[in-house]
Amino acid sequence: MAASLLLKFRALIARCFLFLGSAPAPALALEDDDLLLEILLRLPPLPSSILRASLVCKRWRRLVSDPGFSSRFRAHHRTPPLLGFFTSYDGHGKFVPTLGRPDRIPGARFSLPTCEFFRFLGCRHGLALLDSPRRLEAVVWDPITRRQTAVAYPPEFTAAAAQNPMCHFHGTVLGGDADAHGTVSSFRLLLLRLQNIGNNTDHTNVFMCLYESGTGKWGNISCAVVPRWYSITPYPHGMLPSVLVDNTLCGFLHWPTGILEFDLDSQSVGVIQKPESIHSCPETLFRVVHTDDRGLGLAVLEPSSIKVYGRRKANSLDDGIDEWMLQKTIQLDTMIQMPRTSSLDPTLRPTSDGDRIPTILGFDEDNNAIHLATATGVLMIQLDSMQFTKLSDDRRDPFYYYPYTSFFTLGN
Amino acid sequence: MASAGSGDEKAAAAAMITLISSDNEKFEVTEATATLSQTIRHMIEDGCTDGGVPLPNVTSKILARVIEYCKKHATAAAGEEGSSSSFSDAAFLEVDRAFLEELEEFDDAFLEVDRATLFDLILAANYLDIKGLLNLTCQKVADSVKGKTPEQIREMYNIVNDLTPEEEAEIRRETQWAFE
Repeated sequence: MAASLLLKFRALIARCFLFLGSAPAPALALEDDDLLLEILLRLPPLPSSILRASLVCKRWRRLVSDPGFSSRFRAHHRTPPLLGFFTSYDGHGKFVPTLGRPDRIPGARFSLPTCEFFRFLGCRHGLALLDSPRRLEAVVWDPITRRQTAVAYPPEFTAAAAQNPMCHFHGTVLGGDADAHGTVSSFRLLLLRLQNIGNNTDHTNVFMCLYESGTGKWGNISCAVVPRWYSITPYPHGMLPSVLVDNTLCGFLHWPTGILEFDLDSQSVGVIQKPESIHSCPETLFRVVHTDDRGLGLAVLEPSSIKVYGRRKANSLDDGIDEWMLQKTIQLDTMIQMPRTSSLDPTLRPTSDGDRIPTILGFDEDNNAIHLATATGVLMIQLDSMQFTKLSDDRRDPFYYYPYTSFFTLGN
Repeated sequence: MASAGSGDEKAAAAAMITLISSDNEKFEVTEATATLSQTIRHMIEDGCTDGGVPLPNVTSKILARVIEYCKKHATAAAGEEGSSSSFSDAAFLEVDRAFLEELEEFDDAFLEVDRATLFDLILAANYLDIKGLLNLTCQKVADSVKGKTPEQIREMYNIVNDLTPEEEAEIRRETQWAFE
Protein backbone atom coordinates (compact mmCIF):
# COMPACT_ATOMS: atom_id res chain seq x y z
CA MET A 1 0.00 0.00 0.00
CA ALA A 2 2.82 2.34 0.96
CA ALA A 3 4.56 1.47 -2.30
CA SER A 4 1.50 2.30 -4.37
CA LEU A 5 1.11 5.62 -2.56
CA LEU A 6 4.73 6.37 -3.27
CA LEU A 7 4.27 5.60 -6.96
CA LYS A 8 1.21 7.80 -7.03
CA PHE A 9 3.18 10.61 -5.46
CA ARG A 10 5.99 10.15 -7.95
CA ALA A 11 3.54 10.15 -10.84
CA LEU A 12 2.19 13.46 -9.56
CA ILE A 13 5.66 14.98 -9.30
CA ALA A 14 6.55 13.75 -12.78
CA ARG A 15 3.40 15.29 -14.21
CA CYS A 16 4.13 18.60 -12.49
CA PHE A 17 7.54 18.65 -14.15
CA LEU A 18 5.92 17.89 -17.49
CA PHE A 19 3.62 20.86 -17.07
CA LEU A 20 6.56 23.08 -16.21
CA GLY A 21 7.93 22.22 -19.63
CA SER A 22 11.24 20.91 -18.34
CA ALA A 23 13.30 18.34 -20.27
CA PRO A 24 11.45 15.04 -20.70
CA ALA A 25 11.36 13.28 -17.33
CA PRO A 26 13.11 9.93 -17.08
CA ALA A 27 10.62 7.08 -17.44
CA LEU A 28 8.87 6.49 -14.14
CA ALA A 29 9.37 2.73 -14.22
CA LEU A 30 13.13 3.33 -14.39
CA GLU A 31 12.90 5.51 -11.25
CA ASP A 32 11.78 2.60 -9.13
CA ASP A 33 14.70 0.42 -7.96
CA ASP A 34 12.61 -2.77 -7.93
CA LEU A 35 11.33 -2.25 -11.46
CA LEU A 36 14.72 -1.19 -12.81
CA LEU A 37 16.10 -4.37 -11.24
CA GLU A 38 13.45 -6.45 -13.06
CA ILE A 39 14.61 -4.87 -16.33
CA LEU A 40 18.35 -5.25 -15.65
CA LEU A 41 17.86 -8.93 -14.75
CA ARG A 42 16.58 -9.45 -18.28
CA LEU A 43 19.65 -8.04 -20.02
CA PRO A 44 21.33 -10.67 -22.21
CA PRO A 45 23.69 -12.91 -20.20
CA LEU A 46 26.71 -11.63 -22.12
CA PRO A 47 29.76 -9.95 -20.55
CA SER A 48 29.22 -6.52 -22.13
CA SER A 49 25.58 -6.21 -20.93
CA ILE A 50 26.37 -5.78 -17.26
CA LEU A 51 29.57 -3.81 -17.81
CA ARG A 52 27.79 -1.30 -20.05
CA ALA A 53 24.83 -1.00 -17.68
CA SER A 54 27.29 -0.30 -14.86
CA LEU A 55 28.50 2.83 -16.70
CA VAL A 56 25.09 4.43 -17.22
CA CYS A 57 24.88 6.18 -13.84
CA LYS A 58 25.53 5.65 -10.12
CA ARG A 59 22.17 4.02 -9.45
CA TRP A 60 22.50 1.48 -12.28
CA ARG A 61 26.05 0.76 -11.15
CA ARG A 62 24.94 0.22 -7.56
CA LEU A 63 22.16 -2.19 -8.62
CA VAL A 64 24.28 -4.39 -10.92
CA SER A 65 27.23 -4.46 -8.51
CA ASP A 66 25.18 -5.96 -5.71
CA PRO A 67 26.00 -9.63 -4.95
CA GLY A 68 22.25 -10.29 -4.69
CA PHE A 69 21.87 -9.08 -8.27
CA SER A 70 24.52 -11.54 -9.49
CA SER A 71 22.75 -14.53 -7.99
CA ARG A 72 19.33 -13.38 -9.29
CA PHE A 73 20.85 -12.77 -12.73
CA ARG A 74 22.26 -16.31 -12.76
CA ALA A 75 18.96 -17.76 -11.56
CA HIS A 76 17.03 -15.86 -14.24
CA HIS A 77 19.27 -16.94 -17.13
CA ARG A 78 20.20 -20.37 -15.73
CA THR A 79 22.68 -21.35 -18.45
CA PRO A 80 25.97 -19.43 -18.46
CA PRO A 81 27.34 -18.53 -21.88
CA LEU A 82 30.48 -20.07 -23.31
CA LEU A 83 33.11 -17.32 -22.97
CA GLY A 84 35.91 -19.31 -24.59
CA PHE A 85 38.27 -22.13 -23.73
CA PHE A 86 41.47 -22.69 -21.82
CA THR A 87 43.99 -24.57 -23.86
CA SER A 88 47.65 -25.21 -24.40
CA TYR A 89 49.26 -26.03 -27.74
CA ASP A 90 52.87 -25.40 -26.76
CA GLY A 91 53.02 -26.02 -23.04
CA HIS A 92 51.86 -22.49 -22.17
CA GLY A 93 48.25 -22.34 -21.07
CA LYS A 94 46.07 -19.55 -22.43
CA PHE A 95 42.47 -18.41 -22.74
CA VAL A 96 40.98 -18.21 -26.21
CA PRO A 97 37.75 -16.14 -26.40
CA THR A 98 34.96 -17.41 -28.64
CA LEU A 99 32.39 -14.59 -28.41
CA GLY A 100 32.35 -11.70 -30.89
CA ARG A 101 32.79 -8.04 -29.99
CA PRO A 102 31.95 -6.44 -27.58
CA ASP A 103 31.78 -9.65 -25.53
CA ARG A 104 35.18 -10.89 -26.62
CA ILE A 105 37.24 -11.03 -23.43
CA PRO A 106 40.92 -10.58 -24.30
CA GLY A 107 43.02 -13.68 -23.57
CA ALA A 108 45.27 -11.60 -21.32
CA ARG A 109 42.33 -10.76 -19.02
CA PHE A 110 42.21 -14.45 -18.03
CA SER A 111 45.96 -15.03 -17.95
CA LEU A 112 46.70 -18.09 -15.86
CA PRO A 113 48.06 -17.62 -12.35
CA THR A 114 51.75 -18.28 -12.19
CA CYS A 115 52.58 -21.30 -10.12
CA GLU A 116 55.85 -23.08 -9.73
CA PHE A 117 54.71 -26.09 -11.72
CA PHE A 118 51.09 -26.76 -12.31
CA ARG A 119 48.68 -28.66 -14.45
CA PHE A 120 45.33 -27.33 -15.67
CA LEU A 121 42.72 -29.91 -14.66
CA GLY A 122 39.44 -28.37 -15.83
CA CYS A 123 36.66 -25.84 -15.26
CA ARG A 124 33.18 -25.89 -13.78
CA HIS A 125 30.71 -23.37 -12.34
CA GLY A 126 32.93 -20.43 -13.33
CA LEU A 127 36.01 -21.82 -11.56
CA ALA A 128 39.17 -23.43 -12.91
CA LEU A 129 41.19 -26.10 -11.14
CA LEU A 130 44.95 -26.34 -11.34
CA ASP A 131 47.20 -28.51 -9.28
CA SER A 132 50.81 -28.90 -8.45
CA PRO A 133 51.76 -32.55 -7.89
CA ARG A 134 55.20 -31.33 -6.84
CA ARG A 135 53.80 -29.17 -4.02
CA LEU A 136 50.95 -31.62 -3.41
CA GLU A 137 48.31 -28.93 -3.54
CA ALA A 138 45.37 -27.99 -5.71
CA VAL A 139 44.67 -24.39 -6.72
CA VAL A 140 41.10 -23.18 -7.27
CA TRP A 141 41.11 -20.07 -9.46
CA ASP A 142 38.30 -17.69 -10.42
CA PRO A 143 39.35 -16.10 -13.74
CA ILE A 144 36.75 -13.31 -13.40
CA THR A 145 37.73 -12.06 -9.95
CA ARG A 146 41.36 -13.22 -10.40
CA ARG A 147 41.22 -14.69 -6.93
CA GLN A 148 42.75 -18.06 -6.13
CA THR A 149 43.06 -20.35 -3.19
CA ALA A 150 45.33 -23.31 -2.57
CA VAL A 151 44.23 -26.50 -0.83
CA ALA A 152 46.78 -29.06 0.37
CA TYR A 153 46.05 -32.65 -0.74
CA PRO A 154 44.43 -34.78 1.98
CA PRO A 155 47.03 -36.19 4.42
CA GLU A 156 46.47 -39.78 3.24
CA PHE A 157 47.23 -38.73 -0.36
CA THR A 158 50.32 -36.84 0.71
CA ALA A 159 51.60 -39.83 2.70
CA ALA A 160 50.93 -42.18 -0.23
CA ALA A 161 52.79 -39.86 -2.59
CA ALA A 162 55.81 -39.92 -0.28
CA GLN A 163 55.81 -43.72 -0.27
CA ASN A 164 55.13 -44.20 -3.94
CA PRO A 165 56.20 -41.53 -6.40
CA MET A 166 54.40 -43.40 -9.16
CA CYS A 167 50.91 -42.52 -7.98
CA HIS A 168 48.93 -40.16 -10.16
CA PHE A 169 46.56 -37.36 -9.11
CA HIS A 170 43.64 -35.81 -10.86
CA GLY A 171 40.64 -33.74 -9.81
CA THR A 172 37.63 -31.64 -10.59
CA VAL A 173 36.01 -28.54 -9.07
CA LEU A 174 32.37 -27.59 -8.38
CA GLY A 175 30.50 -24.61 -6.97
CA GLY A 176 29.85 -24.82 -3.26
CA ASP A 177 26.06 -24.60 -3.28
CA ALA A 178 22.92 -25.33 -5.25
CA ASP A 179 23.40 -22.02 -7.09
CA ALA A 180 25.75 -23.90 -9.46
CA HIS A 181 28.22 -21.05 -9.19
CA GLY A 182 31.52 -21.19 -7.42
CA THR A 183 33.76 -18.62 -5.83
CA VAL A 184 37.16 -19.13 -4.27
CA SER A 185 35.43 -19.15 -0.90
CA SER A 186 32.53 -21.39 -1.92
CA PHE A 187 33.53 -24.51 -3.81
CA ARG A 188 33.92 -28.24 -3.63
CA LEU A 189 36.97 -30.04 -4.88
CA LEU A 190 37.18 -33.73 -5.71
CA LEU A 191 40.65 -35.20 -5.83
CA LEU A 192 41.56 -38.61 -7.30
CA ARG A 193 44.61 -40.70 -6.63
CA LEU A 194 45.40 -43.57 -8.96
CA GLN A 195 47.82 -46.26 -7.97
CA ASN A 196 48.62 -49.54 -9.66
CA ILE A 197 48.28 -52.55 -7.37
CA GLY A 198 51.72 -54.18 -7.19
CA ASN A 199 54.14 -54.06 -10.07
CA ASN A 200 52.78 -56.64 -12.44
CA THR A 201 49.09 -56.83 -11.73
CA ASP A 202 46.26 -55.90 -14.00
CA HIS A 203 44.47 -53.62 -11.60
CA THR A 204 44.55 -50.06 -10.38
CA ASN A 205 43.16 -48.55 -7.20
CA VAL A 206 41.25 -45.31 -7.59
CA PHE A 207 40.84 -43.26 -4.41
CA MET A 208 38.54 -40.24 -4.33
CA CYS A 209 38.18 -37.61 -1.65
CA LEU A 210 35.91 -34.53 -1.52
CA TYR A 211 36.91 -31.18 -0.01
CA GLU A 212 34.33 -28.59 0.95
CA SER A 213 35.45 -25.00 1.35
CA GLY A 214 32.54 -24.31 3.71
CA THR A 215 33.97 -26.63 6.38
CA GLY A 216 37.56 -26.48 5.14
CA LYS A 217 37.75 -30.27 5.52
CA TRP A 218 38.34 -33.32 3.37
CA GLY A 219 35.70 -36.07 3.57
CA ASN A 220 36.17 -39.84 3.81
CA ILE A 221 38.19 -41.56 1.11
CA SER A 222 36.23 -43.87 -1.16
CA CYS A 223 37.97 -46.46 -3.36
CA ALA A 224 37.28 -48.57 -6.45
CA VAL A 225 39.40 -51.15 -8.23
CA VAL A 226 39.52 -50.82 -12.02
CA PRO A 227 41.43 -52.63 -14.79
CA ARG A 228 44.92 -51.27 -15.35
CA TRP A 229 44.43 -49.20 -18.44
CA TYR A 230 46.55 -46.13 -18.32
CA SER A 231 50.21 -45.29 -18.34
CA ILE A 232 51.45 -42.89 -15.71
CA THR A 233 52.53 -39.68 -17.38
CA PRO A 234 51.43 -36.12 -16.58
CA TYR A 235 48.35 -36.64 -18.76
CA PRO A 236 47.81 -40.39 -18.81
CA HIS A 237 45.70 -42.16 -21.39
CA GLY A 238 42.34 -43.24 -20.14
CA MET A 239 41.59 -39.99 -18.28
CA LEU A 240 38.20 -38.53 -19.10
CA PRO A 241 36.71 -35.19 -18.01
CA SER A 242 33.86 -35.73 -15.57
CA VAL A 243 30.33 -34.45 -16.19
CA LEU A 244 27.83 -33.54 -13.47
CA VAL A 245 24.58 -35.47 -13.87
CA ASP A 246 22.10 -34.58 -11.12
CA ASN A 247 24.32 -34.94 -8.07
CA THR A 248 26.75 -37.47 -9.51
CA LEU A 249 30.00 -36.81 -11.34
CA CYS A 250 30.52 -39.29 -14.17
CA GLY A 251 33.67 -40.01 -16.18
CA PHE A 252 37.15 -39.50 -14.64
CA LEU A 253 38.68 -42.61 -16.14
CA HIS A 254 37.60 -45.10 -18.73
CA TRP A 255 38.61 -48.60 -19.77
CA PRO A 256 37.05 -50.92 -22.34
CA THR A 257 34.03 -51.87 -20.26
CA GLY A 258 33.41 -48.98 -17.90
CA ILE A 259 33.72 -45.47 -16.51
CA LEU A 260 33.63 -44.16 -12.95
CA GLU A 261 31.04 -42.21 -11.02
CA PHE A 262 31.19 -40.30 -7.74
CA ASP A 263 27.98 -39.70 -5.83
CA LEU A 264 28.30 -36.29 -4.12
CA ASP A 265 25.63 -37.15 -1.52
CA SER A 266 27.08 -40.44 -0.30
CA GLN A 267 30.64 -39.46 -1.33
CA SER A 268 31.24 -42.89 -2.81
CA VAL A 269 32.88 -44.14 -6.01
CA GLY A 270 31.08 -46.53 -8.33
CA VAL A 271 31.53 -48.11 -11.73
CA ILE A 272 29.21 -47.57 -14.71
CA GLN A 273 29.25 -50.26 -17.39
CA LYS A 274 29.57 -48.99 -20.97
CA PRO A 275 27.43 -50.33 -23.79
CA GLU A 276 29.16 -53.22 -25.54
CA SER A 277 29.24 -51.52 -28.93
CA ILE A 278 31.68 -48.84 -27.75
CA HIS A 279 34.15 -50.93 -25.79
CA SER A 280 37.11 -50.21 -28.05
CA CYS A 281 36.66 -46.44 -28.26
CA PRO A 282 39.65 -44.23 -27.32
CA GLU A 283 38.98 -41.05 -25.32
CA THR A 284 39.62 -38.86 -28.38
CA LEU A 285 36.41 -40.33 -29.81
CA PHE A 286 34.43 -40.81 -26.63
CA ARG A 287 32.93 -38.43 -24.04
CA VAL A 288 30.43 -38.38 -21.20
CA VAL A 289 27.65 -35.93 -22.14
CA HIS A 290 24.06 -35.08 -21.22
CA THR A 291 21.09 -36.62 -22.97
CA ASP A 292 18.29 -34.26 -24.07
CA ASP A 293 16.55 -34.75 -20.70
CA ARG A 294 19.80 -34.01 -18.81
CA GLY A 295 20.45 -37.62 -17.93
CA LEU A 296 23.75 -39.44 -18.35
CA GLY A 297 24.78 -39.79 -22.00
CA LEU A 298 27.77 -41.31 -23.74
CA ALA A 299 28.80 -39.76 -27.05
CA VAL A 300 30.89 -41.57 -29.61
CA LEU A 301 32.46 -39.91 -32.63
CA GLU A 302 32.10 -42.25 -35.59
CA PRO A 303 33.43 -41.79 -39.14
CA SER A 304 30.48 -39.67 -40.25
CA SER A 305 28.36 -39.09 -37.18
CA ILE A 306 28.15 -38.60 -33.42
CA LYS A 307 26.07 -41.20 -31.63
CA VAL A 308 24.61 -40.43 -28.21
CA TYR A 309 23.63 -43.31 -25.92
CA GLY A 310 21.34 -42.86 -22.93
CA ARG A 311 20.32 -45.20 -20.15
CA ARG A 312 16.90 -46.70 -19.81
CA LYS A 313 16.12 -47.52 -16.20
CA ALA A 314 15.85 -51.23 -15.61
CA ASN A 315 12.37 -52.31 -14.67
CA SER A 316 11.81 -54.82 -11.91
CA LEU A 317 11.17 -57.67 -14.37
CA ASP A 318 14.61 -57.34 -15.96
CA ASP A 319 17.86 -58.39 -14.35
CA GLY A 320 18.12 -55.01 -12.63
CA ILE A 321 20.84 -53.65 -14.92
CA ASP A 322 20.19 -50.38 -16.76
CA GLU A 323 20.10 -50.78 -20.50
CA TRP A 324 21.89 -48.43 -22.90
CA MET A 325 19.85 -47.19 -25.85
CA LEU A 326 21.03 -45.25 -28.88
CA GLN A 327 19.17 -41.95 -28.40
CA LYS A 328 20.49 -39.72 -31.13
CA THR A 329 22.63 -39.73 -34.24
CA ILE A 330 24.06 -36.43 -35.46
CA GLN A 331 25.27 -36.57 -39.06
CA LEU A 332 28.60 -34.85 -39.54
CA ASP A 333 29.62 -35.54 -43.11
CA THR A 334 27.65 -32.64 -44.50
CA MET A 335 29.08 -30.26 -41.92
CA ILE A 336 32.74 -31.10 -41.76
CA GLN A 337 35.32 -32.23 -44.19
CA MET A 338 35.97 -35.88 -43.44
CA PRO A 339 39.32 -37.54 -44.03
CA ARG A 340 39.70 -39.47 -47.22
CA THR A 341 40.51 -42.66 -45.36
CA SER A 342 37.66 -44.38 -43.61
CA SER A 343 39.83 -45.31 -40.66
CA LEU A 344 39.42 -43.21 -37.59
CA ASP A 345 42.27 -44.82 -35.71
CA PRO A 346 43.78 -41.82 -33.89
CA THR A 347 47.20 -43.46 -33.84
CA LEU A 348 47.38 -42.95 -37.61
CA ARG A 349 48.81 -39.46 -37.91
CA PRO A 350 47.22 -37.24 -40.52
CA THR A 351 49.42 -36.69 -43.56
CA SER A 352 47.97 -33.27 -44.39
CA ASP A 353 45.34 -30.91 -43.00
CA GLY A 354 42.69 -32.35 -45.32
CA ASP A 355 43.28 -35.77 -43.84
CA ARG A 356 42.98 -34.59 -40.26
CA ILE A 357 40.94 -37.07 -38.31
CA PRO A 358 38.22 -35.31 -36.30
CA THR A 359 38.66 -35.82 -32.57
CA ILE A 360 36.71 -34.71 -29.51
CA LEU A 361 38.44 -31.82 -27.74
CA GLY A 362 36.04 -31.09 -24.93
CA PHE A 363 32.50 -30.92 -23.64
CA ASP A 364 30.61 -27.89 -22.31
CA GLU A 365 28.19 -29.39 -19.78
CA ASP A 366 26.22 -26.15 -19.31
CA ASN A 367 25.31 -25.81 -22.98
CA ASN A 368 25.49 -29.55 -23.73
CA ALA A 369 27.91 -28.99 -26.59
CA ILE A 370 30.75 -31.11 -27.90
CA HIS A 371 33.85 -29.36 -29.25
CA LEU A 372 35.65 -31.10 -32.11
CA ALA A 373 39.04 -30.62 -33.73
CA THR A 374 38.50 -30.98 -37.48
CA ALA A 375 40.37 -30.33 -40.73
CA THR A 376 38.76 -26.87 -40.85
CA GLY A 377 39.33 -25.86 -37.22
CA VAL A 378 37.48 -26.16 -33.93
CA LEU A 379 33.76 -26.87 -34.27
CA MET A 380 31.12 -26.79 -31.55
CA ILE A 381 28.05 -29.00 -31.87
CA GLN A 382 25.13 -28.32 -29.56
CA LEU A 383 23.67 -31.76 -28.92
CA ASP A 384 20.03 -30.76 -28.31
CA SER A 385 19.60 -28.48 -31.32
CA MET A 386 22.36 -30.21 -33.38
CA GLN A 387 23.60 -26.72 -34.35
CA PHE A 388 27.18 -26.32 -35.56
CA THR A 389 29.33 -23.28 -34.73
CA LYS A 390 32.91 -22.73 -35.79
CA LEU A 391 35.02 -21.50 -32.86
CA SER A 392 38.53 -21.21 -34.22
CA ASP A 393 40.74 -21.99 -37.21
CA ASP A 394 43.23 -23.90 -35.13
CA ARG A 395 43.75 -27.42 -36.44
CA ARG A 396 46.47 -28.48 -34.03
CA ASP A 397 46.10 -31.07 -31.29
CA PRO A 398 46.22 -29.26 -27.94
CA PHE A 399 47.69 -30.70 -24.74
CA TYR A 400 44.43 -29.83 -23.05
CA TYR A 401 41.23 -28.04 -23.92
CA TYR A 402 38.55 -26.96 -21.44
CA PRO A 403 35.48 -24.90 -22.45
CA TYR A 404 34.91 -22.06 -19.96
CA THR A 405 31.37 -20.84 -19.22
CA SER A 406 30.45 -18.12 -16.77
CA PHE A 407 28.29 -15.07 -16.19
CA PHE A 408 30.49 -11.98 -16.22
CA THR A 409 28.79 -10.16 -13.37
CA LEU A 410 30.29 -7.57 -11.04
CA GLY A 411 29.07 -8.66 -7.62
CA ASN A 412 30.88 -12.00 -7.49
CA MET B 1 -17.77 -20.54 -2.32
CA ALA B 2 -15.15 -23.07 -3.40
CA SER B 3 -17.64 -25.91 -3.79
CA ALA B 4 -16.76 -28.51 -6.39
CA GLY B 5 -18.76 -29.30 -9.52
CA SER B 6 -18.49 -28.11 -13.09
CA GLY B 7 -21.76 -26.17 -12.89
CA ASP B 8 -20.44 -23.99 -10.07
CA GLU B 9 -17.11 -23.54 -11.82
CA LYS B 10 -18.85 -22.27 -14.93
CA ALA B 11 -20.89 -19.92 -12.86
CA ALA B 12 -17.74 -18.66 -11.13
CA ALA B 13 -15.97 -18.21 -14.46
CA ALA B 14 -18.87 -16.17 -15.75
CA ALA B 15 -19.00 -13.96 -12.64
CA MET B 16 -18.31 -10.37 -13.62
CA ILE B 17 -16.07 -7.86 -11.85
CA THR B 18 -16.09 -4.11 -12.42
CA LEU B 19 -12.73 -2.37 -12.60
CA ILE B 20 -12.63 1.42 -12.27
CA SER B 21 -9.75 3.35 -13.79
CA SER B 22 -8.17 6.51 -12.31
CA ASP B 23 -10.28 8.63 -14.71
CA ASN B 24 -13.38 6.88 -13.47
CA GLU B 25 -14.10 4.68 -16.47
CA LYS B 26 -15.74 1.34 -15.67
CA PHE B 27 -14.67 -1.96 -17.25
CA GLU B 28 -16.72 -5.15 -16.88
CA VAL B 29 -14.51 -8.26 -16.99
CA THR B 30 -14.95 -11.91 -16.10
CA GLU B 31 -13.46 -13.11 -12.85
CA ALA B 32 -11.14 -15.42 -14.84
CA THR B 33 -9.71 -12.40 -16.64
CA ALA B 34 -9.46 -10.24 -13.53
CA THR B 35 -7.72 -12.88 -11.41
CA LEU B 36 -4.67 -12.91 -13.63
CA SER B 37 -3.91 -9.96 -11.38
CA GLN B 38 -2.83 -11.28 -7.98
CA THR B 39 -3.82 -7.92 -6.46
CA ILE B 40 -7.43 -8.31 -7.68
CA ARG B 41 -7.45 -12.03 -6.84
CA HIS B 42 -6.71 -11.16 -3.21
CA MET B 43 -9.43 -8.49 -3.22
CA ILE B 44 -11.94 -11.04 -4.53
CA GLU B 45 -10.85 -13.55 -1.90
CA ASP B 46 -11.30 -10.89 0.76
CA GLY B 47 -14.77 -10.13 -0.66
CA CYS B 48 -14.08 -6.45 -1.27
CA THR B 49 -15.07 -6.14 -4.90
CA ASP B 50 -18.73 -5.16 -4.46
CA GLY B 51 -19.38 -1.87 -6.16
CA GLY B 52 -16.33 -2.26 -8.37
CA VAL B 53 -12.57 -2.24 -7.85
CA PRO B 54 -11.06 1.24 -7.95
CA LEU B 55 -7.60 1.29 -9.53
CA PRO B 56 -6.35 4.83 -8.85
CA ASN B 57 -2.93 4.13 -10.38
CA VAL B 58 -4.16 3.00 -13.78
CA THR B 59 -5.63 5.23 -16.48
CA SER B 60 -8.47 3.98 -18.71
CA LYS B 61 -6.13 3.91 -21.71
CA ILE B 62 -3.66 1.60 -19.92
CA LEU B 63 -6.36 -0.43 -18.15
CA ALA B 64 -7.97 -1.21 -21.53
CA ARG B 65 -4.64 -2.58 -22.76
CA VAL B 66 -4.06 -4.57 -19.56
CA ILE B 67 -7.54 -6.12 -19.86
CA GLU B 68 -6.85 -6.99 -23.49
CA TYR B 69 -3.72 -8.85 -22.33
CA CYS B 70 -5.51 -10.60 -19.45
CA LYS B 71 -8.43 -11.73 -21.63
CA LYS B 72 -6.10 -13.38 -24.12
CA HIS B 73 -3.95 -15.02 -21.47
CA ALA B 74 -6.91 -16.12 -19.34
CA THR B 75 -8.24 -18.00 -22.36
CA ALA B 76 -4.79 -19.55 -22.80
CA ALA B 77 -4.66 -20.62 -19.15
CA ALA B 78 -8.15 -22.16 -19.43
CA GLY B 79 -7.05 -23.98 -22.60
CA GLU B 80 -3.99 -25.36 -20.85
CA GLU B 81 -6.03 -26.69 -17.95
CA GLY B 82 -8.40 -28.36 -20.36
CA SER B 83 -5.70 -30.12 -22.32
CA SER B 84 -3.69 -31.27 -19.32
CA SER B 85 -6.70 -33.04 -17.86
CA SER B 86 -7.27 -35.00 -21.05
CA PHE B 87 -4.97 -37.45 -22.76
CA SER B 88 -2.42 -35.43 -24.65
CA ASP B 89 -2.29 -37.16 -27.99
CA ALA B 90 -0.82 -35.74 -31.19
CA ALA B 91 -3.94 -33.75 -32.00
CA PHE B 92 -3.91 -32.02 -28.64
CA LEU B 93 -0.22 -31.24 -28.94
CA GLU B 94 -0.86 -29.76 -32.36
CA VAL B 95 -3.63 -27.55 -30.97
CA ASP B 96 -1.38 -26.55 -28.05
CA ARG B 97 1.44 -25.59 -30.36
CA ALA B 98 -0.82 -23.57 -32.64
CA PHE B 99 -2.26 -21.84 -29.59
CA LEU B 100 1.17 -21.01 -28.17
CA GLU B 101 2.26 -19.59 -31.50
CA GLU B 102 -0.86 -17.48 -31.63
CA LEU B 103 -0.18 -16.28 -28.09
CA GLU B 104 3.38 -15.35 -29.03
CA GLU B 105 2.13 -13.40 -32.03
CA PHE B 106 -0.37 -11.65 -29.78
CA ASP B 107 2.39 -10.71 -27.30
CA ASP B 108 4.62 -9.35 -30.08
CA ALA B 109 1.79 -7.23 -31.48
CA PHE B 110 0.79 -6.16 -27.96
CA LEU B 111 4.27 -4.72 -27.37
CA GLU B 112 4.10 -2.52 -30.46
CA VAL B 113 3.54 0.59 -28.36
CA ASP B 114 5.40 3.83 -27.76
CA ARG B 115 7.90 4.01 -24.93
CA ALA B 116 5.65 5.99 -22.57
CA THR B 117 2.87 3.39 -22.91
CA LEU B 118 5.36 0.58 -22.37
CA PHE B 119 6.52 2.11 -19.08
CA ASP B 120 2.94 2.74 -18.01
CA LEU B 121 2.21 -0.93 -18.70
CA ILE B 122 5.17 -1.90 -16.49
CA LEU B 123 3.84 0.23 -13.64
CA ALA B 124 0.34 -1.23 -14.06
CA ALA B 125 1.65 -4.82 -14.29
CA ASN B 126 3.65 -4.22 -11.11
CA TYR B 127 0.76 -2.58 -9.22
CA LEU B 128 -1.74 -5.22 -10.32
CA ASP B 129 0.85 -7.99 -9.83
CA ILE B 130 0.47 -9.67 -13.23
CA LYS B 131 3.67 -11.71 -13.52
CA GLY B 132 3.39 -12.55 -17.23
CA LEU B 133 2.79 -8.95 -18.27
CA LEU B 134 5.59 -7.65 -16.04
CA ASN B 135 8.00 -10.18 -17.55
CA LEU B 136 6.92 -9.35 -21.09
CA THR B 137 7.20 -5.57 -20.71
CA CYS B 138 10.47 -5.60 -18.72
CA GLN B 139 12.01 -7.92 -21.29
CA LYS B 140 11.02 -5.48 -24.02
CA VAL B 141 12.87 -2.63 -22.27
CA ALA B 142 15.90 -4.86 -21.61
CA ASP B 143 15.95 -5.81 -25.31
CA SER B 144 15.87 -2.13 -26.26
CA VAL B 145 19.25 -1.45 -24.58
CA LYS B 146 20.86 -4.58 -26.03
CA GLY B 147 24.09 -3.69 -27.80
CA LYS B 148 23.80 -0.01 -26.84
CA THR B 149 26.66 1.97 -25.33
CA PRO B 150 26.15 3.66 -21.94
CA GLU B 151 25.87 7.01 -23.77
CA GLN B 152 23.14 5.66 -26.05
CA ILE B 153 21.24 4.18 -23.09
CA ARG B 154 21.35 7.52 -21.23
CA GLU B 155 20.13 9.35 -24.29
CA MET B 156 17.28 6.88 -24.91
CA TYR B 157 15.93 7.16 -21.40
CA ASN B 158 16.95 10.70 -20.36
CA ILE B 159 19.27 9.47 -17.66
CA VAL B 160 21.75 11.92 -16.17
CA ASN B 161 25.29 10.61 -15.88
CA ASP B 162 26.28 11.28 -12.27
CA LEU B 163 29.45 9.17 -12.31
CA THR B 164 32.56 11.23 -11.77
CA PRO B 165 35.11 11.18 -14.62
CA GLU B 166 37.46 9.32 -12.24
CA GLU B 167 34.88 6.61 -11.53
CA GLU B 168 34.15 6.23 -15.22
CA ALA B 169 37.82 6.05 -16.11
CA GLU B 170 38.39 3.39 -13.49
CA ILE B 171 35.62 1.14 -14.81
CA ARG B 172 36.71 1.63 -18.40
CA ARG B 173 40.38 0.99 -17.70
CA GLU B 174 39.59 -2.52 -16.49
CA THR B 175 37.04 -3.44 -19.12
CA GLN B 176 37.75 -1.35 -22.22
CA TRP B 177 37.09 -4.40 -24.42
CA ALA B 178 33.39 -4.35 -23.50
CA PHE B 179 32.95 -0.83 -24.88
CA GLU B 180 34.65 -1.22 -28.25
